[in-house]
Amino acid sequence: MLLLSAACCGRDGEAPAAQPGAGAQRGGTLVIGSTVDADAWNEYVSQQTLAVNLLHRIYARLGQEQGDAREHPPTFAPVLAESWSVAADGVTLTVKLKPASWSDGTPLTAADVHYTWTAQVSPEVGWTGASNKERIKSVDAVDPRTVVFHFDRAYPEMLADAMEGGIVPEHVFGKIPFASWRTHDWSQEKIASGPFVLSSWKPGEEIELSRNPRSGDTGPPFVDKVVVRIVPDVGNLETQLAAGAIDMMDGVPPQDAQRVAGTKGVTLIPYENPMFDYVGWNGAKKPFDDPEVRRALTLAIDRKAIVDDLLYGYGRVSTGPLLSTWWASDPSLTAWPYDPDEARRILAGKGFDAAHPLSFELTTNAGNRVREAVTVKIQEQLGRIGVVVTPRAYEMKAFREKNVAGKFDAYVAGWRFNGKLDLGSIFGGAALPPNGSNVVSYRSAEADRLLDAIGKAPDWTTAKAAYAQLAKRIHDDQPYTFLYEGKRIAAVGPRVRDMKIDVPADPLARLDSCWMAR
Amino acid sequence: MSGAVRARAGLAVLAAWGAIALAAPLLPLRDPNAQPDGLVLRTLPPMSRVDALVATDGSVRYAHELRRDPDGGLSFRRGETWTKVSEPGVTPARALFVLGTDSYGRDLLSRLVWGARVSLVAGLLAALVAVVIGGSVGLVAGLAGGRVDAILMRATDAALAIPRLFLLLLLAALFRPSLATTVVLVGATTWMAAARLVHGEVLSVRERDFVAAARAAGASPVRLGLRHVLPHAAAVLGVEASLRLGQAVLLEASLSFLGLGVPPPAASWGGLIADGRDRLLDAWWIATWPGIALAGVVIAASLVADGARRRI
Amino acid sequence: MLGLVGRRLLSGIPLVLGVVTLTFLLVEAAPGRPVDLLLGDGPVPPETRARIEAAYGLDRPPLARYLTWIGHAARGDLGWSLSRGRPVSRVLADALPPTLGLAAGALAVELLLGVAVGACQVIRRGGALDAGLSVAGLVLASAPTFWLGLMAILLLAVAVPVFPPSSAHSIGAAAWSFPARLADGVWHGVLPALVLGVPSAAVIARFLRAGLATALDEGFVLAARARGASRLRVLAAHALPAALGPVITLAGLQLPMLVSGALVVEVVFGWPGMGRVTYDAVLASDLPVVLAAVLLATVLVVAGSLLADVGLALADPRVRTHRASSR
Repeated sequence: MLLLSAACCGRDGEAPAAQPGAGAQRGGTLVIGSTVDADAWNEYVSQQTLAVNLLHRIYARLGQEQGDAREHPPTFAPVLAESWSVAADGVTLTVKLKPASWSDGTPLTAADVHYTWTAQVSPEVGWTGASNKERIKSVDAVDPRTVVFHFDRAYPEMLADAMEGGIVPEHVFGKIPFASWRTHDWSQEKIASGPFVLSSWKPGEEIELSRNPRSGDTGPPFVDKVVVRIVPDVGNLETQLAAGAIDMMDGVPPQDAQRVAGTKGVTLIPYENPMFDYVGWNGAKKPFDDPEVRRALTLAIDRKAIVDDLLYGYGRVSTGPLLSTWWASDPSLTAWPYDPDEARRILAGKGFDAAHPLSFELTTNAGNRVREAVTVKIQEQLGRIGVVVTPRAYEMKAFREKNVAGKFDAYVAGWRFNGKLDLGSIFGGAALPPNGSNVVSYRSAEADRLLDAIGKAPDWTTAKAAYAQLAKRIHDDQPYTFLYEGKRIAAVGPRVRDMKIDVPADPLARLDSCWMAR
Repeated sequence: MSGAVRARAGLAVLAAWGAIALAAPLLPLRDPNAQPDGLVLRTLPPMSRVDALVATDGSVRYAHELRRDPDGGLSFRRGETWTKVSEPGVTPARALFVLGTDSYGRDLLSRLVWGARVSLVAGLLAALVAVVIGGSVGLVAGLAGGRVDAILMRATDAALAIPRLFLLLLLAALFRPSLATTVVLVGATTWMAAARLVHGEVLSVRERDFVAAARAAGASPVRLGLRHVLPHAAAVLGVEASLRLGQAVLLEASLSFLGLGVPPPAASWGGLIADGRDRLLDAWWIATWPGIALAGVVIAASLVADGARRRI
Repeated sequence: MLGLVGRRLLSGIPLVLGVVTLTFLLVEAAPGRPVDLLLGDGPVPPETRARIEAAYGLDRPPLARYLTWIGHAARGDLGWSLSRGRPVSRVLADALPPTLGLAAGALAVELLLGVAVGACQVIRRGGALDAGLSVAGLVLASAPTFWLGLMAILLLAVAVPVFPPSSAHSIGAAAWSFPARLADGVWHGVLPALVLGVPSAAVIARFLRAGLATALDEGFVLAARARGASRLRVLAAHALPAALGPVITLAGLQLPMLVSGALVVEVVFGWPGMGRVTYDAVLASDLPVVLAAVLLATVLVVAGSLLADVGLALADPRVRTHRASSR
């Protein structure tokens, strides 16, 4: 079975990216600038990407995803695990752990892996990624260095789901009952299994990670300290990068990219953002319940112009919910063209003309400048075919509440995916609010059938075929108008070497293998 | 420059901006919200000239470069691509952007003028709200006297101690203001000074002879208030209104700067400064014109207030 | 004196309580549920959302949450910050020193610069310097604070890198000795304190110029001048002390503006004070932090105006007795 070949013999790749280029120098402090602060130092409680990215350097995972998810489900490089294999029954994954210990000397054992799983699925902890572990019936610590995952059936993402989430120390975290996890100050726990340990946190100002003393003198990491400087202004960050006060920043706005790239010594690192932005049409409200009207509106929105003008080319037009960097996406599916005349013709056929124009409110969440600019641009573009659009920005909570309650015409938002895409919760008939996130009230028997088939697919080629059909169905029905997949842009200063971003969902993965030149 | 001259200069500035704001729809300005061509028009410095093609129906297309082909036709370049003009009757032209453009290619001159409408209207209405609320509270307290007076004035003092911007921020963040709600919010948080002033005026006027005579003649308190006291308080309120105008315009700008003001795409001066905040390094003009305009209006308002105060 | 202090304190308590209640009501009245801000960007199953809500006690009725908060606050427990993952009291404890430092700096700028410029203008009354300072003062007092801040960063931190463009300390400063850290903090605080204090300094200078001008024409002053004393000496010895009282009152009146205005300055400069904390908390609907910050800000304003009144009473005995007799 293809699944077996992708996952059976444990070592899919080399040891994690710990082979820096020649001449790696040890020592130094890498300063990263960030406009946002971490919110909590526990991956299962935090909802903030910076915190989670840093936590993955502190609490290592069993295996690290390699950035090769475009052709097939991603392969994993061993981190805490030494090797793994799937039994003949296809639903039992046995993982052998490397001999390792926590930074305080306690051995890291299978008991920690089991404990972590209980935390991940605990309703009291309420981890928002718990659905990744849905298919795992149990996690058994057979002996101190062997863990067995029992799944309820075989499916393509078994390995990814098992590897998801950093392993936390039972002897430290176990002292805090799950019910108190959300109100505990996790920055007090200065323990780690990964290359770095949290040494201090001044909220709103600075985060300091230092080298895990147990890392040994020859291996990674190569920098002694990583300091994250919180600077609320992006322009300020760019100035500091140019001046050498910080060495790296993420989230360079596209309009500044050219200027930042032109700064002496600064290198831009654009990378894929596992997110797509879209216009959600309220399928429970006329006239958006008519797929032809939705298609016409898609034809009238010049998505390429949005990518060129608002993203300065750092992105691509989205063809559907399957991210183009993902193995399940079908490259032969092309986006609807920009054809305002055809759009006008279709709308006229539905009874919309100059005397009775189609008029609606387009909302988005306030504070996201790009999305607000998108609503303005769409207003302008649809205005050219006589559609009257009123853009409005709502504060995030109010925005979410209105969407869930169905009190909207159309909205602009995005979905971000770390790894797996759960399309059922967005497009499934069973996911209408309050049971799920299908706020656009999309109902399609064929889509439900295909979602079911995907859920039941034993291997990824079967799943891929079903995904392709689902993408085509959604493409025809346009419950969303898919706008774009944006790129994020990181930048590094002249002293940083060997910093690359292979896995979009884990941009700081190379913190342990990069180094600072003197 | 004497005080009177300064006050007149201030009045002139305010009147000029008011006239510009009123006349905005009639002025030959580009659409402040139109984004005809982000690629060609974005962040142009002041006094930029751009190649353009004007079609027979009056619509304009912008380009980086125009050239006449050997066969007599026109071609234009956008970015790296050259395209031949196929429609007949298209004439080349040069478009001037006096104050430059912002990140989306919108004309800053028209945004400044149209922004004046929003900012000045917001400021004026908020000042009126503040003066009306404050004036009423002060009038009622002063005329009623006794416990009502004490309670109202205590409430005013208390309101002064509230950290205003905190509360404004909270209200704005929670209720996502439109122009109307911004006006009400700013007015509702700045009425206190007017209340105190009117209260003081009423107290001093109340004891005067003609008022005592009117009261002896049996005039009701309301009549007393409206016919005798209010005219005296009006001058003071006028000064207050002028000061509040300046303050309200500044508050609206601060709210917009923090991302909580009048929503896009409507231009307001504060919103324009917020637009320009991210581009200070390479497109400083986006934030500068509205900043100068704002400061100008506030200075003018305080000069007028000074002059009015002098005359009382 | 004690009566004044006592009365003020007594009336301050219901005020603080009232403001806090108002804030609570406002946040409650807003549409939407705070938990929606804690869910990130991916689709979250409704059961998880409900769990998170329960974990933070956000599913209890508003009155219960309000009473619990009041009860805990009276005991010093200000709750848990949803957006910062630590106790609110620690969040505020971290934010208070930078706020007080900035306020002190701004106050110093306001008084010193204001008095100096005002006196200068009076001495050189009618000259070009006087006119120039008046215009400059008017402009600086009228420009929006955030714009001034941005211009200050552009001119004094980017174009000519004299001061740092943001934050309260240099990277790694935590490891330095206390005097070095203090100096580093002061150096970072110069621009924010200037931006916050200069507009108020302009107001004070204007007031002083008007007030002192009349004082200089007084009889005893002319007599002293006839004896050969310079204008400056006369000013310092006679006129300034008399004007001190009103200046203190004026400074006291600027206090609420210092607390509020600091918010904008802190956001522009990334200064980790209470203004920044409140701004972030408001955007994140982090109710415990917002309530505590409003509470603290109101307390500061009440305390500050009390201090100003006490200062005024100490400086000018006439005020003390006059007030006592007019009640």
